[in-house]
Amino acid sequence: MSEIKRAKDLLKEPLLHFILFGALIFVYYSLTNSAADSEDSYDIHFDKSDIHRMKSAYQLSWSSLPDSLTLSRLIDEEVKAEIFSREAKRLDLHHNDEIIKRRLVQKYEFLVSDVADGAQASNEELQEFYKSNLDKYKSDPTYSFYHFYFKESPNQNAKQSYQMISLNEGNVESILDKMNHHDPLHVSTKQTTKSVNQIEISLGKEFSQELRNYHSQGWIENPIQSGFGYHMVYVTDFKESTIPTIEKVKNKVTKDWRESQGVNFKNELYKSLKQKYKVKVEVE
Amino acid sequence: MAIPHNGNMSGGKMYQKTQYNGSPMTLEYINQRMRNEPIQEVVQVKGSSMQHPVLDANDEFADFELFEYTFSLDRMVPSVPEGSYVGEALINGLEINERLGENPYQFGFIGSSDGHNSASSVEEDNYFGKFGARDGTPESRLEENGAFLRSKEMSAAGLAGVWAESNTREDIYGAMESKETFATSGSRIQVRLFGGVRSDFDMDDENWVSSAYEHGSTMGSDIEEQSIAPNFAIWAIKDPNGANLDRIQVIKAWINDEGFAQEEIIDVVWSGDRDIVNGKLESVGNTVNTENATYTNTIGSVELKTIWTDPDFDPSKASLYYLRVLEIPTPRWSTYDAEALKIKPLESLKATIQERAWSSPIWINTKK
Repeated sequence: MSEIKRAKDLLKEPLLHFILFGALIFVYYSLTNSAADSEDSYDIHFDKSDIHRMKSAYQLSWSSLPDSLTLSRLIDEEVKAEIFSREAKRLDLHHNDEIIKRRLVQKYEFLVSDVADGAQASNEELQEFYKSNLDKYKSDPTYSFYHFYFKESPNQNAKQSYQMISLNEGNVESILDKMNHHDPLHVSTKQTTKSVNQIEISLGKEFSQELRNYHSQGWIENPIQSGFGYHMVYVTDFKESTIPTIEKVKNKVTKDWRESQGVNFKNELYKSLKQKYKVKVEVE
Repeated sequence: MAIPHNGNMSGGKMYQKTQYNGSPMTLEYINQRMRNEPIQEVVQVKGSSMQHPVLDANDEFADFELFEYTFSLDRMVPSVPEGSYVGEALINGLEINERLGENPYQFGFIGSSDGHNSASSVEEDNYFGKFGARDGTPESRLEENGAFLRSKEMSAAGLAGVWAESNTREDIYGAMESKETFATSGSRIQVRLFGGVRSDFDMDDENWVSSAYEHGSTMGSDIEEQSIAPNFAIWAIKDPNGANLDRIQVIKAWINDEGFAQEEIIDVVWSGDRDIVNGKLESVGNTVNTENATYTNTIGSVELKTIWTDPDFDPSKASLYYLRVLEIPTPRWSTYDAEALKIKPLESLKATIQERAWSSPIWINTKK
């Protein structure tokens, strides 16, 4: 327990995050800038790892490695890009450029997310998170049912003739064939197990909301109205929405917890960085 | 796959009779275009790219959610109808096919919202604009002057329909490649079209769709030369949360005796007991109360279906057929907005809309 607590405290320590963060930036630059000669020099040098990077990028787009002609053109393009971008920087063209700024912000945020993604939750933390966010993990209620469509509301006789028939596993198909009083509608009469949400998609909001009032097996006494008309409904199975145990949804809980940590971390980081800046805004 | 969008705003560039640079079409260009662009977006928030009244004076429903500008952020320049609309491109495609033996505009349809607010803003009674903060309130959308990018003329549209065997990436892409797709102006209407079904085909049979797949051709496909007029199985069902259906029309284009393409719109199945007067089906009526922004489903049908055969079919001429399904009139989003603000609907905008769906066409070839 004490160790868990200590680890937890350590993780929540912003200073540690910043140290990790700094280390990450160092690693990032040493990886990406291996070939880069000083960017304001006139030397350009692509080493093996640069060539490998070009080949991989090409392969990713075209699902095959570049042949030698293509590769030499890719290299020409990279050389040109290097020269033009250095010249542009010499002219200070990157200064106050909206697109470059946006890209830098994006890259910085990627780095921050990488650090936050490394956070490990203790079981207690996951439990706590799961308990305060139960709604996120709740499943939809589901129904299995048959429905018979009528353009106009069926009269008492029609309703009774339906309700006298007991549908069960053994006789469903043969009885369905005999049920020819209803009107044809090209929407499947037999509904396999569906969530309330899926039922709403096929039969509409009005129907799915009304159906929610019925939980027991058998005929629903009065027809249910939908945007299509009226439906005599026989429920074969109903399952109330359930909240799965944390073991069943552990991956999702972990992912959600990490996401919430990431948001917190980003906010904290921004707050502390902002302290270093003097911000002055003049509104006209 | 590339899906061209907003042809209506292309200033006549999207569906030219020539290549983009003005040189005549070549087989290579046509094949490249068809390989890359099997389906087109025909309706979205920035208007419909399907029909235009100038291009089709005989189409009483062509004046629908038009947004006639070319796009630029600082000013909106009028677009040009010719070359900007899909209905015309289909006709021109048949003509180019007649001349060159290949058709650059043999495509299927989808709709999409093109919203920039991470959500699908396609329902008239729940429209929240295209750009988020700029047009996210009734006030900002209905501003008479200075409304952002003429947002009051924009449309709560559209949706892409795909008939895929299963809800998987492979099957959905497969159906898009084979153009078995349809477009709606935002309503969840479903529409089916099969060509070449048998004359005794029974659409009251519960399993009619699987037998249509077995014996017929799907929307988006082409049928090889026919000696007699093929039978079409035509079906549509309403949005269960929306308005009833008015009618289904077949839009037919074919090469006439002079070698030019021609179009005809035929009402094939409709709700209620209505007659065709002077070649036009009587109107379905209108239940919209514009002041309260309401309508009722006391007119129209839940489902429409029929087997239809073209009485004027000419086996020696290439032709194409697609469906347009119309809903009964309902309040347009701007009328719901006006109701929310307790003001009168703007006179510059239509107060009602007839939402609709378009099936992808079926082409009937002649011997090459």
